[in-house]
Amino acid sequence: MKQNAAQPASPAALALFGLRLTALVVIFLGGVILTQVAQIGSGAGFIVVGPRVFPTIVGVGILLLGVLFFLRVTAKPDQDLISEVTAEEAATDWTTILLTSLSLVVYASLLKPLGYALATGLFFPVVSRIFGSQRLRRDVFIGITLGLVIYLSFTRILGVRLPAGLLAGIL
Amino acid sequence: MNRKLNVFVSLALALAFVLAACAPASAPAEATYTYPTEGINIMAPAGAGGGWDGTARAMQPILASLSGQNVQVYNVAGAGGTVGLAQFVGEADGNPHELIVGGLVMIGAIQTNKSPVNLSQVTPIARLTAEAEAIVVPADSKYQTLQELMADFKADPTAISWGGGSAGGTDHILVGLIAKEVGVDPAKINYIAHSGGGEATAAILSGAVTAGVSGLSEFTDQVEAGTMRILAVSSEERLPGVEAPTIKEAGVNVALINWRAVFAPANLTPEQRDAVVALVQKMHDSPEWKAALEANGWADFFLAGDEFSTFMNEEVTRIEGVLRDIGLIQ
Amino acid sequence: MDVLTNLLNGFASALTPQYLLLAALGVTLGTAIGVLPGIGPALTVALLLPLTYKFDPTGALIMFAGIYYGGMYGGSTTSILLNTPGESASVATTFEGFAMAKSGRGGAALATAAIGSFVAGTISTLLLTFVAPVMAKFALLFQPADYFSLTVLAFISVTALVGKSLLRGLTSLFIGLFIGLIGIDVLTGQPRLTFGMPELLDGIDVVVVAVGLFAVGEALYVAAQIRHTKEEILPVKKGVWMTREEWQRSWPAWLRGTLIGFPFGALPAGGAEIPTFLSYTIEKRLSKYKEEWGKGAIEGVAGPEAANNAAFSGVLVPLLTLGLPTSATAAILLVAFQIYNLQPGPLLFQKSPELVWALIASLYIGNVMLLILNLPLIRIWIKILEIPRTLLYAGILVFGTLGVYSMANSFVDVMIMYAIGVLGFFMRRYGFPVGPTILGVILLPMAEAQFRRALSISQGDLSIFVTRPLSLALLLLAVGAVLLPYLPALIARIRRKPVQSGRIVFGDGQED
Repeated sequence: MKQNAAQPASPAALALFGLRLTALVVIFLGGVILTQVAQIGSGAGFIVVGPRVFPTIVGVGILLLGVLFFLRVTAKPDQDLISEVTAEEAATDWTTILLTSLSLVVYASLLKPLGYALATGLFFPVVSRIFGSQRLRRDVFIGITLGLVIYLSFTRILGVRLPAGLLAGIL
Repeated sequence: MNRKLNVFVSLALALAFVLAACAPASAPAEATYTYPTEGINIMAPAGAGGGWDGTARAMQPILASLSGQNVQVYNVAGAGGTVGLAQFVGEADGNPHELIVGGLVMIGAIQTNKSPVNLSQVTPIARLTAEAEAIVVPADSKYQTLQELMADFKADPTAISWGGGSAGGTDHILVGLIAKEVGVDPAKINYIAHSGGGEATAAILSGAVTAGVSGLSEFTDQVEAGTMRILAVSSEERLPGVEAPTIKEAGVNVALINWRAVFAPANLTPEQRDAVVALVQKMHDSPEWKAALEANGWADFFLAGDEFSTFMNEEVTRIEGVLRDIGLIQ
Repeated sequence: MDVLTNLLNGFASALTPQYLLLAALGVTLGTAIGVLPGIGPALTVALLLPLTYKFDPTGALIMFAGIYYGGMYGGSTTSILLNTPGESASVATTFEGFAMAKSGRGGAALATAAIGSFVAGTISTLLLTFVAPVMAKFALLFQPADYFSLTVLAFISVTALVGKSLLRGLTSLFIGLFIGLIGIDVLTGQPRLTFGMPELLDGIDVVVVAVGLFAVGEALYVAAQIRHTKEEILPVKKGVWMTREEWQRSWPAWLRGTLIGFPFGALPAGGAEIPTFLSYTIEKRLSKYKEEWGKGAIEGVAGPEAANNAAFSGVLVPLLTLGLPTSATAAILLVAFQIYNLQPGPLLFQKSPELVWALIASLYIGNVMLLILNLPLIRIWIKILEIPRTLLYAGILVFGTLGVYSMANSFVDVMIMYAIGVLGFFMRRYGFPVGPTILGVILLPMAEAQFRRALSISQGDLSIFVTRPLSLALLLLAVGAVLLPYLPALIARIRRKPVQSGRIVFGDGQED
């Protein structure tokens, strides 16, 4: 989403770029849906409205809405929206979003191998740090407590399965 | 300082001891195969509250008390059991301590969902319970017997709408079998699928569909309340307490029973398989299982080991044939 | 009387120590989570869903109702003191509530919100008690054509009334429709839009969508700007109570709010946001103290808060009797029912009367508990607002992940939830309301299935939608809902007054 550092983009330019890209993504989604519709089987027996009808309507609808939105951010710009998004763009920290998303993926993939309690104990301070927390020791403490308390109360009291991971046999 | 270290060392030793005690005891060179040697996990490949879940949870305490091991039930819902089955085949291979509940519905779901795994990739242990299907109409319907309904069905098939459970499920299969038997073109079956028997019941009561098809237990409340009438049941013989003929008695040579069973993973040694069968047999013979059957209104339909395997293969062939006939499998 | 006997039985069951404890636990947890900024009742319920797996259905649903009510009470606290409504139904409260708090009258605002919620909650539960059984009998007559027209009414209400931009509102709705289509087609058993993933065969669970859109989406959105914003919590100086004059100004607003809230909630019109804004507008028009509006008029808090709570009891009517969820929260409550293999709909009152009546009785009880929790103990809840936001949102991510992971220990579910979270972030970022998305996910499966069933039954005859009186009436209501937003402009034109805006806009569409 970020443009080259060589040409420092103003929030307004970034906002407009983001909005146009959003419109293109919506159009693309419409296209993907329509190609997927072709793969839907037709079903059996007496059928008046088949299983493809609604997906087709939704696919075409999304495609058209995407095109309309594209026009609203290019040919006939919606100034309210653009200024609103520009204001947000100025305040948005894309690195935070990227790092948070990344740590979420890592968190989800560590749940099983490390176990719920450990993965959570690790994830919590990392994300707090990404969000700007400065007190690492406190965050680690809270994270581990949170992980352990949730793990034990869910598996022991509530009867919900959570992976024990490395701590299997200890917990 | 020194004392602290001592405490630490003794704690570590204690921990090591506990860990060692927890590790599965290796049992080399034993003459007879003992089973189970660890906790048993039963997968119910459906959400909580359904028939498979109920079966698994009825087995749980009995197996636990018989084996002296911890028995756990877990649910992996999805797509007529095929999501759970795929996970089971992938993860439990060769482990006799993993079991899965399943049944007739799975056969159809495997085919219609183009499931990558099927029932040949698990070891059949035993068939446990069964439930007959019922064909019902709302109380104010003009149809008094199945024969009358069949006459109209043959005359103008699409005018008769059948309300029942999921597409390709037991209810749908029964309608397909009936259509085939009375010579109605499968492309003219006006089957209105619902997400479950409860939703179908509401549709039947509102008078939207001509007739309803689902498991007998879905309709018993309504029949007792006098808002529905059973035209026929799908069992081979009349059922106690149900004032309705079988479909066969009503002149259509069709019978279908929705059975539920338990399976183990593939690649078990013969000893392992026999041990699991023996444990389930013991469970079936216990008074607790009889009580569970009664509490849930399930009919005993027990068949174990090789005989069950044969039965299952026949069912797979028959059901796949029907599904192909009604066009659900191309 | 039949209803009274049932209700008394319900109370007998709900007043057992075990259920009382669950209700108390529910309202406490609900308030604690609901008071967190950015978390509305829908999310509160979604996050706390796994807590109830162990309980019997009655206990679990009693706890849920408590969580929901608690979430609403907690939400009003955040709206008043922090100006951050956790859901769009609380937006109207912020206008006057935050103004009151700024002028040092936060205590009175909190009091009128809490007492108003109690009054509205109790009266509307009373209405629910008598309306729901009648409705349940009536609902037995609903055929697929009628259900379809009902969903049309719901869709129209949502898209016509919500959001600043119709284009973006519709896009959001269609994205929701797309998500709702994923999975096996109920009618033919064909997999649709599953991209070859077996995990998608059963569709995307509404809990996954709700947690993704609301919890993760919101957390990412706040995180993106976390270094640039400062929130101040306004102190509550005087006690949480009202003067005689404030009482006199509050109670008519409570009653009007209740009378607006309940029927709007009961109609399939997307829950509580419309009645809260309607109540706000009406109170402003009727007020004798017009000069106070914008500076903290107590009616502007009393009315919308009452409407908000009354709407919830209203929402329960179609949910329990027709199985139709009209808001995100109702959809998650529906999931809770389905976890226990209970199908809300015309037959619920017949099949599980004990459960339904214990649930209704617990609504009365929960209201009393919340009044106690919120008046004397309000300071404790305000403390929760002081948790640093870095930890708060890290915690929301942990609990959101837990809520989805604990359903089936599925990595794929969690990843789908995160993906929807990223979608929710970008939607917030570029001004797309997320409310219509969730309603699309919820309503589409029902609308599509019933439309196709109706036409199968009629053998292709489209007139079935207008020849059935019930269906026709619902469709006419839908036409009315399309015209409603233009009504003020129309009236103004008739009165030859200058037109202020073409169309009323209700909320910002950030439903729940």
